[in-house]
Amino acid sequence: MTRKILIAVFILSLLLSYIFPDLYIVTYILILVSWFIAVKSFKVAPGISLILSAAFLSLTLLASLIGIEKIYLNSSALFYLFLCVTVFFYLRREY
Amino acid sequence: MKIINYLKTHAIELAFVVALVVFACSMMDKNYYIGGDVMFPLNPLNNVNKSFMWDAGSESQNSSHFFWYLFYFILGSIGVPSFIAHKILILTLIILGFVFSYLLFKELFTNAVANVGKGALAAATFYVLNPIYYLVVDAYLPLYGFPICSFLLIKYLKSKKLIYAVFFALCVNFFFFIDLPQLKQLIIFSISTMFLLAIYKHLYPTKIRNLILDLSKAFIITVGLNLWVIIPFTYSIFWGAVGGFSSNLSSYGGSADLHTASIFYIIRFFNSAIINIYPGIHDYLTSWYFVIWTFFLQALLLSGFYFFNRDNKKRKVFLLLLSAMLVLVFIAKGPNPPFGDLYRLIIVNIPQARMFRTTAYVAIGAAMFYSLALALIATKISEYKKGNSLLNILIVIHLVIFFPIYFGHKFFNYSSSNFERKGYKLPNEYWSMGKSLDSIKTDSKVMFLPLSNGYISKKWGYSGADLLTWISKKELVARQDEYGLSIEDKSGIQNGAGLYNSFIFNNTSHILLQKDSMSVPTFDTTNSFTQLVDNRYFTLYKVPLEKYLPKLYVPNKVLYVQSSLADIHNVVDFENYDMRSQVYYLDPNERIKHEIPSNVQNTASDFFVIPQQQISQLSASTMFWNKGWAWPEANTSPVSIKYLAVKLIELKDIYIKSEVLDKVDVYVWLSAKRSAELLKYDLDPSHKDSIINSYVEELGAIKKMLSSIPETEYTPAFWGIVRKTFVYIGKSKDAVLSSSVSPQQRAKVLQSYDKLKDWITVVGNPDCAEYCYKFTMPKSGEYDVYLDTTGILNSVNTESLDIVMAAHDTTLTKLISSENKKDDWVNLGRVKLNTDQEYKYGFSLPTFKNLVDSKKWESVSSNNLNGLDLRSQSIVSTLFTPEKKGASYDRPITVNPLKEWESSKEYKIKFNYSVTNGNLGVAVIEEVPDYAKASNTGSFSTDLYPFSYRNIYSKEFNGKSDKEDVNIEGDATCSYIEEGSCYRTFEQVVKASKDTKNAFIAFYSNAYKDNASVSKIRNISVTQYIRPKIILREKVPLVVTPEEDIPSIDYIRVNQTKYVVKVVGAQKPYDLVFGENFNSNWKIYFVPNVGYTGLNSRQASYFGGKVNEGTHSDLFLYKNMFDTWNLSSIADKSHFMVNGYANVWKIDPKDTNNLNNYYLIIEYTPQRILYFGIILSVIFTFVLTVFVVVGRLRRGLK
Repeated sequence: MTRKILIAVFILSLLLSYIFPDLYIVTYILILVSWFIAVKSFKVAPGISLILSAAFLSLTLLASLIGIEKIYLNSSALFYLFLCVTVFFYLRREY
Repeated sequence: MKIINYLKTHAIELAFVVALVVFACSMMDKNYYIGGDVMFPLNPLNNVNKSFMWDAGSESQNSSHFFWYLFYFILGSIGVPSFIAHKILILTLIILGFVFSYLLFKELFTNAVANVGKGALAAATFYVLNPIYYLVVDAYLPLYGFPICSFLLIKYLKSKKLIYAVFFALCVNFFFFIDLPQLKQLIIFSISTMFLLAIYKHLYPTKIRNLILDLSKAFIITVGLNLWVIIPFTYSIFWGAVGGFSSNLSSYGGSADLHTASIFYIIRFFNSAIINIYPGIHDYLTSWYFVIWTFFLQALLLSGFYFFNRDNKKRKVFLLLLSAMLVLVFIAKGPNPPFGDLYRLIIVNIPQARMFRTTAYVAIGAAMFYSLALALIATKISEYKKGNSLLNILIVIHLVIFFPIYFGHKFFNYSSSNFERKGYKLPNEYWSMGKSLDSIKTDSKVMFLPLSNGYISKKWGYSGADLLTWISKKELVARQDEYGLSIEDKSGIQNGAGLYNSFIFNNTSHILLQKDSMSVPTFDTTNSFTQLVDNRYFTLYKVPLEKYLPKLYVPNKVLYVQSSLADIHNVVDFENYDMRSQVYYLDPNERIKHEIPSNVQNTASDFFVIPQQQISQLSASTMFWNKGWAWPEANTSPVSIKYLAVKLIELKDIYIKSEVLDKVDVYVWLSAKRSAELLKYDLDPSHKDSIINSYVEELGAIKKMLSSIPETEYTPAFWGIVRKTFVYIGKSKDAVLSSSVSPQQRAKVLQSYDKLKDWITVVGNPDCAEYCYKFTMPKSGEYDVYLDTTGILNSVNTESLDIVMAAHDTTLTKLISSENKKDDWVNLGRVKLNTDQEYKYGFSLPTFKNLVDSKKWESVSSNNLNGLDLRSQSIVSTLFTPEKKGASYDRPITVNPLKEWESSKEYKIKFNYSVTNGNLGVAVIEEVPDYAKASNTGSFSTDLYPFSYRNIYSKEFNGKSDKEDVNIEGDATCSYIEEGSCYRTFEQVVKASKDTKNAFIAFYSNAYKDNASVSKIRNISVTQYIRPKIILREKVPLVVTPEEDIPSIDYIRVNQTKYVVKVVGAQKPYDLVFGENFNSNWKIYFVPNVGYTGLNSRQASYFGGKVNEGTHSDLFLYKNMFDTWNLSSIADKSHFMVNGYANVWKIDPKDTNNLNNYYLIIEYTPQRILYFGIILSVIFTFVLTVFVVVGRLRRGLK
């Protein structure tokens, strides 16, 4: 149940970040916190962060080719966010 | 066959050579690639003189750019024109950037990568052919400094050879000190170096102790060799001009790069501004192939996690490279998501962090790590393929995609009207004018007209830094805010106000009119200025000797003036004025703080008080609030959850301010922010209501706080914030009203605005007569009162008039006729004034002619104007009853042509009004000759008046929202009540534009609800407005120093930081005026004898040979450069500011060993710090050389 709530919070935050870009300080914190809890508590592979990063990169490219500014701006920020998370997880494993 | 094989094997390398050749060919023109922020030494042999610590009237840090100047200087001295030198630099930097990013990769990954050469080629390709090239200006040295300095550091650490550390030190100077006084790139380079060292440590395991030892050596060498830059720069941070740079900078609320440097752009190393700036590459940067390729490379970067997963060694390196890139991108994206608020918090609250208020250039460091990481992945992938084909394909595609770089697209000018041309061809007249200015032998200044704020626009397309300041070595007064003449004086000269007397206070020997500028000022040539050069670009005038003071002179009189700096030139007009005077001035408003001698009020031989006219504290001249005038931006929607955080931060902002004025400033800012929110976000009625309530509350708070301040505390800062409030609430109110608010909301806003505005108007406007002066006297005595009558008779169009001036217990009257109007200053009589009270003087001048012709009112709008009859009544009553409301084109409008409206003159609009429903607007509209130039153009008058026009003034008045609420009796601001209506008075002074042809005054009205608007207007007048000036002059016996008591002086300039003066016949104390901008670091030294040959010749003589100029020079290193180092300066306590900007020392015979003939040396002492740094660097170089040589010899012996 907790896992479902967490995933719901995560997805909802992602959606909110697109709907209300100005809310990013709140939505991004929610995204990060829920993601870190998921990784830590439910043994989600850190590598999934990389997949998310790649997914947002693809979305950025798609949106920029179509020309939907709201989507490519937010997606690129999320791509960067998950890339940072990925690097964090990998570096933690190294050190 | 061999050739074919060779070509096949080295096809990629050859492709780069071809690209380089194409790049070189793209610059095959004789144009100068300058403009905007880009400038280089156009005349390097002159520009190298900028390396002193005093330049253009202020402390200079140009010496830190010495190597950059030196590059152009060396090429210039062998005859290479600077435009070629610049292109050589561009080409060299591209090659160096390529070579060193290649070498850096190779040096770092020699043992880690199988095909290191190909990987290095890829790294070099990704770095040099990178969008960052568009982001930074041409030949931006730090861009290439990153790979070069990084390579040298790694090479040094690996080889332990000190020579690499030496090159590293020199390269840090050349590539990064060019950015000083900004430390941004040096800090970013330091952060990059940390990551680089972590990678190095991982690839080449070494003991931390050894690494620190090696780095310490490199650090000592870097600091030691660069002491000549570091020491003066450190001095400037703690005691000089640089210290205030960061803290005095506006933080722009941390939003300078908001949106432009968002991750979408900055992760690919450019920003959105580049797309807009360069019309030529706009299409390229937004093309599908560029977008796909750059995102493909990002995807390639992600693939590193997969490819290096099992490669322990390279995985860590890859992660470090990626971390470095992400950290630097985080800084480079500034206020943008994610977590841009963290950045803003830092920028706003830590003054030192404000050097990062613009961040996009930080992406340079990120681009280096990105290139290395990409190349590392590419080599890894190619390992799987057992060949280079994938790498080669990547490189070739990249080379093809980035074709605009080597096709030289960046060099196209970036103004949309001019972008098909590369750079600018400088007309020959510029070079010949440079020579003319350089040939002026006297040590004097040349003033440029028009003055610039650092940028100038030319009719032939150029827009950027002033060109002649980079061509001539003459001291030039080109900017409004520096050197000699006050801004007000300069503007007075520029706009034809006739302040030519200001020249007397300066040593401005020439005026250069730049006729090719976009706006050429009017320069009255009837003032005996000799024309020396005249062509289609310039006219050079020589200032007559009677308006010229040499840079050094001994005055024979002391004048004391209590006035604003802008007014001191007026004393020149008075009888007995002798240009050999020195003028001490004290501004009672203390806008420029400086000390004056304590007894000067009693010893001055002429004593003037120039009271400021109390026109209104709300006029632009009193606009003195130095804590920021930025307009807020709404970044958070009031409907969002984050808005709660915004409100909390706002509360914090209010409560942390302890000063009332600062609190008012916050509220002013917040009320403006509310208007920005209403404009930006389409809010529902309840949210809109809440924002409007906040707005109204904030205006109320402002009024409460301001009115709580007692009158005794009405300081300049108080008037500053009152003025700011006045401007801001006017603008914010307009913004709120334009955001489709309901009539109730509109009324609420206007009511609260009017309350505050009325209070400000009452407090801010003078409480004595119309032409009113308030002042206190610094000295009791009898004073003659003079009135400047210039233009008064013309204004009222009469042959003579009585001037009546009412003082406390005196009334002065004077008939001014066309006979004595020739005198600028007419003596009205004598009054006795004391120091112990405040005086109020008021003039009664005849009423000027009303420009409004009551018979000429016309209706412009097509809809009905029931009950309106403006044509027949001299006292106008207007009743508007529109059928429709809202849309501007439906508004009832009446206009009246203003007869005899003249350019550049000031006019007062005055009328009484009563608005009981809806609102009433008034506007003054000018007809202008060229429609294209008109700003604020509207739409309404196109039918009846088919001319181009601009709205120079507009204002709206509100009525009550409901008739029932009208409480006329209780309204204290009524000027009078007539037939039950409260009439208020409106008064405003507006200035006609320079190029106006005609003007109109227009009234219009908006209805409220479905009711007709009801507005009544009475007593409309538009009259010319003048600002008469008075001067109070004490009659004191004129004390002139006898000629025999004035020593004669001969002087030379050794360089711009040192002057030598030969004094002959000094028997009594005397003053020595030095016409450089006042600075307490100018010191004077007494020397019995000196060895400067320039003193033996005479270039010019003044005051009957009492002042002589010798042969000047510009020596940087010279024999006598240390001749004052062991001396103590004299007359430090009698060093003051005179003439509004210059230095004066009172020299006492005791200071000079009671000698009659001797020498004085005037020196800007911080220059010694530069020399001291140079000496230390030389000593360090010597010690280092000895250390290396001895070390080698020892090793050789072993």
